[in-house]
Amino acid sequence: MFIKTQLILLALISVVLSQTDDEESFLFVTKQTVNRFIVQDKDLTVKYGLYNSGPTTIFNVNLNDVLSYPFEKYDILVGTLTPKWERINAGSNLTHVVVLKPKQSGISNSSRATVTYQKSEKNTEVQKTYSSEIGDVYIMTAREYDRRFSSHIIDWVLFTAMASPCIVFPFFLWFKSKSKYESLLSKDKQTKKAQ
Amino acid sequence: MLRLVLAILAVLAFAQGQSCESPQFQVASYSTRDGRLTAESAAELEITVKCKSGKQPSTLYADINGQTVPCAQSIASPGKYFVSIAVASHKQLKTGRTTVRLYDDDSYSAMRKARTDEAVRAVKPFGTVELNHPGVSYGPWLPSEFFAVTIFGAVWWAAYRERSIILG
Amino acid sequence: MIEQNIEIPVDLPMKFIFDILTPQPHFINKQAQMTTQRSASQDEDLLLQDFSRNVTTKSWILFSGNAAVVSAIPLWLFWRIHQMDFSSYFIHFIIGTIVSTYFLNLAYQNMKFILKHKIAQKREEAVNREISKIFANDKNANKKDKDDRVLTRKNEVADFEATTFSIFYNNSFYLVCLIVLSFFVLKNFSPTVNYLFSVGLSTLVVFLFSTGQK
Repeated sequence: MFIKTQLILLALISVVLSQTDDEESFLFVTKQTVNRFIVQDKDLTVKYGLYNSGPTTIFNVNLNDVLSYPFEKYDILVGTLTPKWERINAGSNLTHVVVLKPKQSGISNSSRATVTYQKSEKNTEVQKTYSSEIGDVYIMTAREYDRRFSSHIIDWVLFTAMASPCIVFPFFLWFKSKSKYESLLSKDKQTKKAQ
Repeated sequence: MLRLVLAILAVLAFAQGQSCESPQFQVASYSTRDGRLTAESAAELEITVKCKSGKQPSTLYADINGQTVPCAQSIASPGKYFVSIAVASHKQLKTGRTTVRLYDDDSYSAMRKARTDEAVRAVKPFGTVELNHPGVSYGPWLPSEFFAVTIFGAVWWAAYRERSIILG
Repeated sequence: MIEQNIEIPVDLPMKFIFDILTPQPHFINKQAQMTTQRSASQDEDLLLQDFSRNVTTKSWILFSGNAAVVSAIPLWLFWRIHQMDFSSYFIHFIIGTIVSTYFLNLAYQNMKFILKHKIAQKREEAVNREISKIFANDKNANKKDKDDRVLTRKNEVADFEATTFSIFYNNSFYLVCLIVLSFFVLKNFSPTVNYLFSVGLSTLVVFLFSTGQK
């Protein structure tokens, strides 16, 4: 029991010592989307990158991006818009991914995410920082996306079926007449040669 | 030093019976599928942990291909842990099944203590889950309009040749 | 009599189509009866008329009908693939179809005119032989009758082949131009721009190339 308290004390001292560094930890937060196009009713994957730049671990990191993606406009498929981490080690990176589904098309403004954290476990002073912004995004309709990216094999097959009579029919008529007269010519030549 | 302290603390915590015994995992996984819609690949695991004792592990760490990252949790949905993977291109995300080892505080500190690879492997993880990434599809290899234009182009070319013969 | 010896120029279903397609209703049977009374000047008139750019109503209807069908078929692509609704793009579709029908019609006529001369030259010998065979059994026929028949037959054949080939060539050329423009060149433009420009430009290209000699 005595050893345990001693060790805890030691641990606290080490934490305090590390806190006295001149350089302060700062959390950088980026927010990006991996999507090329944002399409209504299709996955929108948002990626947050958290980077602890400082020499010390930061604690109690809370990210909140509920304001950017209100539930009337977006469904959350996977992930959470309010993630939290107990700690982020000094100099380490962290990625957080949220998959959303836009319910509406049109221009949509997604603002920045708010991140709060503590510079040490004991220091209850809450630091606040913001992520980068994606800005205004255009959410295209599923129809528009379909127009550009669906393969439409059946439509093409039917088109070919409809268009081919216009080509095959006159070709057939022309070819029949042509071969008739050309064979007439070659037959005559053959008979002449035979004679 | 800090590690040692943590380890001891962890051991103590274990001794007090606060850890999660025989956890059960429920995994919802997501990975990028549509290569035309997205420029980069991302994957996410949503792990719901159920413990017999009803006590949730305070933190979980996930080991994906040798990289250990802390899992995110959410105030809105307790008991859920989120593991996110994001890579710069579609090719960098391994297709097929990837085993993700989860560590709680105890096993994580034990792993950090381990110096050699064998020692790391010897640490019993809190649990393992799988990420299944079927791969990214880019749609059909050739768009169907390409075939259409080839067919009609060939017909036109034949017609053009015939026309040259007639006019020649 | 001559008529009895004459074979039907083409087999029966073909003759029916031939009937529709031939702008001048000259059929050998009727022609044979008429040739004896015809003067040289009449022949020249006939010849001039046949080789002029003027088209008969029958051929005009044939060309227009064909052009309209070919102009209307691509609407399927714009409706299904470019997602253009008939209700909202009604005006565009009407204008586009009318313009392309008009220019395709002209393109058919131009090409037919160019081809007809060439085909007539090429078929001269074969037609000569065909008619010679018919006249071989008939000792009474004079040379003028035969020449007359050759000329008319040659005209018919050239007209038929030029008409069908012109339709075949212009249809395939138009469709290729349209697909290339609409699905490759103007792929990322808005549906309205895509439709109007792909239809307009492809008809223009087809029309301009129809007058070319090469």
